[in-house]
Amino acid sequence: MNVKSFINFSLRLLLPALLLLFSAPISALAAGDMEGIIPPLSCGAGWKVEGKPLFYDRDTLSDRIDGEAELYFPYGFERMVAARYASEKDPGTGMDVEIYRMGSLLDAFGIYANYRQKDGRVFSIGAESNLSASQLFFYQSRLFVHIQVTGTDNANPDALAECGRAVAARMPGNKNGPTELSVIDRPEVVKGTERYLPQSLLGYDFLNRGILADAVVEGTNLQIFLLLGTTVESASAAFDRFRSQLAQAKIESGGKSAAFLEGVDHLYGPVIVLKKGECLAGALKFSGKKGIQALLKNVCN
Amino acid sequence: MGSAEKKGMNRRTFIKAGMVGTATALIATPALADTLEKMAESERTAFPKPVYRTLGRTGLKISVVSFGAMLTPEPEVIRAAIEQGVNYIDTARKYMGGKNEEIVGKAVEGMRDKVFIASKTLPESKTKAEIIRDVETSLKALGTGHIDVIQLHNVTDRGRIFIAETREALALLKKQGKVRFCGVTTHKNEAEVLNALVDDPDRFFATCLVKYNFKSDKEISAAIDRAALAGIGIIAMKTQAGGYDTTALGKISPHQAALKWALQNPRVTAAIPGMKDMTQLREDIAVMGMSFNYADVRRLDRYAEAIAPFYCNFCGSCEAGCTKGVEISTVNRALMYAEGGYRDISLARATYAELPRQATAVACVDCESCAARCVNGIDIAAKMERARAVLS
Repeated sequence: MNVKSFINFSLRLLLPALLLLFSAPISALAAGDMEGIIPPLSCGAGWKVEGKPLFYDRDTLSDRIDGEAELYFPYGFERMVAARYASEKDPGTGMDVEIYRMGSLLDAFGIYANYRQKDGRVFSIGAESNLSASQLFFYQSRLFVHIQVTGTDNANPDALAECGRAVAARMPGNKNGPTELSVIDRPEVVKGTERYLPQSLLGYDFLNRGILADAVVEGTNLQIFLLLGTTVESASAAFDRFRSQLAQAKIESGGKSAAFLEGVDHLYGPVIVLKKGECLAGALKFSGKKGIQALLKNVCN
Repeated sequence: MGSAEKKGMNRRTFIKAGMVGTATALIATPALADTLEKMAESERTAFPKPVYRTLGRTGLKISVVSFGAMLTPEPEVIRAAIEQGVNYIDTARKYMGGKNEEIVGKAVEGMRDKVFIASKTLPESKTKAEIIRDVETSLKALGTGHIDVIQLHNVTDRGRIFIAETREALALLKKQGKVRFCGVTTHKNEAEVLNALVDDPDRFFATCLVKYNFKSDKEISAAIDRAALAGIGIIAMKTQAGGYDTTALGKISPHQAALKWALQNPRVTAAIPGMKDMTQLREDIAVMGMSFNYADVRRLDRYAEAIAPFYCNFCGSCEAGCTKGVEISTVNRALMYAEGGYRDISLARATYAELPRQATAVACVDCESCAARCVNGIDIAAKMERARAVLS
């Protein structure tokens, strides 16, 4: 074997080995990261870990949470780790911790917002948290966390919060919310009502990906929406499609490269939609129109 | 030899055609493709007159296409369905941490008398106190005085059907008028669960929400027959055979055909497809009154072919035949992530990397021929070869 052949031969052997060496730890690290977030021994005082963590992916998630798994897929669900902690005081009472890795911070917020209870208490856990009688939900970075007490009718919310803090302390990332929400971070918008829908906003497939929130304008309750990821062309297409299904549709100018659409939607009643460049925003479920155009203009600015 | 190969395509060409090609590429002749596309378009027009069937011995007359509310964030979409005659809404205490019941509650406001509501207790609830707590909480969230059908959620074996304390709680709730009928839901060991309902001498449960689609095996169909004949109301779920992206099939949507397939069985009272938006609602409701015809057979054939290279049940029965201990079902799952509707190579590689090296498809290179056999006819050797190429 000459030197050239030897080098060629060595490279052919070495290259795959090096690739394997570098690729395997990356994948393994991804799985390990999730396991590392689970508190290993206890989740708050008096709650000892029971068994080993269980892992679920897209194909096995329904084994754990039944058909509800389908709710997670549009939000880029990748993997879930679950662990159970048993109460030392009350045999039969347990705390189930489920940590879901979603597609992005916005996705984690979106799935969290689906679960956020209206009468839930807010704690400073993760980017945002919601605590009810027996459940705690929160998200941080790409992770959504659901903790639930089972086996008792008298769950202690303090225990849930303590376990939540223990989990959050092991999670990567900061406590920032998604930047996409900053557009509707306005005094008119009711805090805690924001939602992110990755598809079929308002139940219409032509309104793909967007955020929804309750608002109060001039004393009138209403709902606003904003499409995300739009271009000038896609915003125009959605605007035209919306117009085609409204009764009594009329369009008026909203200034340079902007147009307001007003009409009656068969699901929601009166709606106002603004298209301005690549921005498409709208309002619905209102009883009076005063101030709505100004709000939509501010959202699209 | 798979059916794609019979038609003169090799497996790789078929994957390419099946996943990125147009409908015309998939259908044997352009004329047939055109006809099917036109038929598909014509079937997505106006809402039809609703069709109702009797839900077993409950006597409830429910719409054959009913509403699975789990994926529906907007109550207005559910209201639109009710206005079109859909009169059975399925939700659960567990969905969205209980919030899904609130959405259904909003949807039926002022229309409660037009609709039957089915909900489910929490999967882990078994004791009398837990069952009563779940139902009371559901009633509050739904804003109603009674639930028409309360179901034990996700029953996977016969044991749970016979828990005395659970029955005691449900009987009490019925007596109080808070619950009209009791049922179960199952998507694992479905035949065992259905047969247990029939074998129950007390005939306590009157309905079964069961995973049933064109990929279901004969054992499940037989169990459904037996249960329906015993008066159990059968409702089908997961009628679409799950999770594969079918946009590459173009206008020849398999969704209506899959729904029709389930409803052509007279033992099945209704199906509850999840409907996220008005387009899906229109498409699913349109199935009412339609018959399952030859074009549907073709559509499902094409759909089955498109998913066949990826559709492994992950039963693992092939692994007993592998002398090298390859975890074939996990390798197939990883390959499905890469090449199925998911198209997620990083997830595929992460799944594959979790296997010990000796359990991956790399171990197959030591074998001259593959001894493992798939009960569904998947070419395991070809799949392992593909996995080495894509995932190693």
